[in-house]
Amino acid sequence: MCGRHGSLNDDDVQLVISYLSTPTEVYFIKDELTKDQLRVASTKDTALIERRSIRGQTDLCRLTQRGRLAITLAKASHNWLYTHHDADKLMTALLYGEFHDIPKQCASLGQSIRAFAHEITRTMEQPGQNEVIAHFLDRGNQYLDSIRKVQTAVQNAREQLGTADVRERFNQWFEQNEGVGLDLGMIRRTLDELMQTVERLSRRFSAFLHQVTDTQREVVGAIPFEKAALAFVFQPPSLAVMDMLTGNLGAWLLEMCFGAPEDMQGILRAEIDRHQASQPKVFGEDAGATRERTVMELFVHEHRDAMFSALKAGPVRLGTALTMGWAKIGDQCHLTELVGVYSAPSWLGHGTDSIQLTLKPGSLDARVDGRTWLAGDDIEMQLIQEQGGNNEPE
Amino acid sequence: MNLNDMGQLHAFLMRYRCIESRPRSRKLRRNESELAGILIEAGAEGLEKMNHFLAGQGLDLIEFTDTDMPGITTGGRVWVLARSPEATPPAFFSIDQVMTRMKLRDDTREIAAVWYLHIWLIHLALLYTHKGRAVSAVSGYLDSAFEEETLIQGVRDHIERVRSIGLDAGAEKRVYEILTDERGTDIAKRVRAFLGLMVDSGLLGCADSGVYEQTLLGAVEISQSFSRTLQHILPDEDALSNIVNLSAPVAEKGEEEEAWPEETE
Repeated sequence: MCGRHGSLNDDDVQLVISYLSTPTEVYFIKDELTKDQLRVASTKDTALIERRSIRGQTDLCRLTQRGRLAITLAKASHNWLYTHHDADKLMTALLYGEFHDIPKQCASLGQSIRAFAHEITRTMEQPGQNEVIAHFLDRGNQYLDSIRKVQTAVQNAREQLGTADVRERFNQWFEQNEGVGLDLGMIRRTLDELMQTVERLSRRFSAFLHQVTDTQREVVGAIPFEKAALAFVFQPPSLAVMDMLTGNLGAWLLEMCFGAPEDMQGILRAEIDRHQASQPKVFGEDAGATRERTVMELFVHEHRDAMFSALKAGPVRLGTALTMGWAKIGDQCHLTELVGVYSAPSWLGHGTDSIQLTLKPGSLDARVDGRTWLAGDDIEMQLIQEQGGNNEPE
Repeated sequence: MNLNDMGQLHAFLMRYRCIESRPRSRKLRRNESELAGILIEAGAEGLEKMNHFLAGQGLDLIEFTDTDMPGITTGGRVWVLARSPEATPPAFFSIDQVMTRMKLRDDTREIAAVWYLHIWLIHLALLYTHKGRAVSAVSGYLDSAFEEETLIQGVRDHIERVRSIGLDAGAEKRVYEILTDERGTDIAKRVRAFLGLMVDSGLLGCADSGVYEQTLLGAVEISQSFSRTLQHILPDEDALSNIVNLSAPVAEKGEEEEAWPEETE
């Protein structure tokens, strides 16, 4: 290290060593294939080098297994020029009938391709000409050639897979390796996906060469945004300009809510009996019959007193009303009626002008029961005290 | 892709601004998988058709594959609905709603707008300036997590700097008064309102409680629109140096070497 970087002193080296040998905890999301769900996992196995402390010689250190893996991955993109040799292994595996190696080989090739493509993306995003761009420009044709060779190798493997010879070899292999869970269709799909990945890389690399050689290349570097904020205390933009900035770059919300049908699914119960709805009702037919209370009337009867006493203490939001158990009578869910009262407070049987409703955008987020949530704009109901009047329910 | 498909895609994108065929760090949303399927099946032609429809509204639907951009699940694709840098945002996007949610007590719209602008710039400083990240570096969205508390502290520091410069140095009186007239937990409340707005707009994601990160959409929009909007409004380099020299805390951080304001070849 000191040979290549002569100006480094011992303290610098010690600092770098202790930095690289200190493990840290990395959290990541893991796909639980068996349970079909995601869970958070973590590892502390992140130190890239380790110190060897044999007989107190603590200044000796070496790469950990992780460190070696990290270097291999980092080298993957620089080794792209040789990747077509790896692609040729696909054909070899097919010819030797080593079918179980193919998915592994495809995954590894896909990984190399993506790592290389991501390096291109990151290079394109940086302003100025740097060493990486110069390197790619110098060897652009070799890279394109290598991409073409990988493309050809994957294509050949894909064609070979369709021959009677390979199919027969696969059937023999399949009989000997029952329960491996690999069939020809899967191999075909894996190769097709790999083919598409190589094609995307090819397009990406051509776009990259085009972009970096373009005189109109527009890439914005680092901007000191804190200074800009300070500058705006001295030279503030007008309100119209601030609105333009927010409209183009800031938060963007819709002027009005467009409810999608699925937002309502499972929340409201279907109350219309199809049969009844299709039968025309004859006026006066049920005159004189005993009228039963509607669900809404039952609901109002049950909760009106409690609602008024709560409203007298202060405004009550729909979200709060849910937590007070007003969406239920016994075990029965009466959310529809509760929402109805919040939409038309005249149901409470009190002068509507003494109740005020206010929309509170975006503040509703409440659980109705096990699987039902209400989210969106909350409604606040408030009792307006009339001068000299009394607010007792009639 | 038929009109029904386009309607479904439009409704979903208006709500979430993004479709992921295999989401990286969240569960699939209702219909998301089917809509991703429609877009994949429709191919380049379908995407172009959808984009014709969206262009009339000043919007672009941009596709990313796992090969284009780091952070996309292997074999997955992501589509983001971005405001087109060349068009005026459609009238059905409301700045009033944004400002209403930024208001505390009896704030005027102007007060809300000034606070929004300043918190937004300090949040950009966290995402870009502090990480030495170029505005064009879309892939940097992957390494952009910050804590709510860090942004609150950043805004507090900014207000302290404004106070330390004072009106005598030439600060604009109205803005100075708005920013320095904060009480108790006002800054924290304003920052939380700001973060809520950014999450609802699909520009920030809430990774964990109190931890936020820029979304791919957020990074794409800044990268595309910065040079057409904010760049023209920023004071020039000389004016900025004069102002910054007045403020000791910023100068102490040694940020003078940063590129300003753009490198275009």
